[in-house]
Amino acid sequence: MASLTATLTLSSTTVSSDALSFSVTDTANVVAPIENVARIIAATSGGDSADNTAKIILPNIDANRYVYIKHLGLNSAGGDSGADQVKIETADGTQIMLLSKDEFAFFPYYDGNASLLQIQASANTVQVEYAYFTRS
Amino acid sequence: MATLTPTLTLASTDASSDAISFSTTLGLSVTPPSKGISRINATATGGDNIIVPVGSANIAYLYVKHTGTTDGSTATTQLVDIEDTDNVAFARLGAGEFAFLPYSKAGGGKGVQLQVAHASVVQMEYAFFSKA
Repeated sequence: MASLTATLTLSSTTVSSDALSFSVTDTANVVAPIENVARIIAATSGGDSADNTAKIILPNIDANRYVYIKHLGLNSAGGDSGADQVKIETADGTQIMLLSKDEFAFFPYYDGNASLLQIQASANTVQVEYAYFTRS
Repeated sequence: MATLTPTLTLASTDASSDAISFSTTLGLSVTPPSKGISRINATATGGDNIIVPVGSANIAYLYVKHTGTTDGSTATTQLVDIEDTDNVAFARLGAGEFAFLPYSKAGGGKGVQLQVAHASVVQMEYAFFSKA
């Protein structure tokens, strides 16, 4: 069995009168399916979702998966993606998160059933980096 | 306007033949409402454990961690769902696990709550910051 170590640090000297500075680390056991760091173009059409608007990044299985997703700030041609955002959606197209330029998310995705995760650009195209690891 | 700086590091030497080791970071502009690092004793009734109030933020940078305890000292492995305030789960945390994400439910107006998967109590840590 493999392990994945994730560390999150949050810091700020301006978000409140009490400076924020802390880290959390978790080492989790992970099994296949695993998809190592990959890149994909999010668009508004031409996808493989039910309505062809989004790209599926997690297959439809009944498992808890640690998911990393990052908006790379680039369009499909490698230029600046500007204000175009990336919608993170469930299988029915319901948006649950919204990534702006350079933002990222890390979370253990699971809704209690077999479920997939898909991404879609708010407009135009956006390069997205992602990875996932299945909890053992 | 305030700035929040999150940094995520992922590492593994055995998840694949190619070792994983990378970090990503950025500065996020944030504005009220926000809530600093807080703790709640979550129960199996999600509506009793709302951590991001309904309508408080269009996009909320949300941090949630399962402390692995019921009260700060007694160990538990009960799973805890992160849900919108319509009881729809989108993440499930085990002991010691955490999440950091820009929550933004389609249509807006939805908060975030925590719900223990079985009748039990789990002490959870959380914070949120509204995107400016």
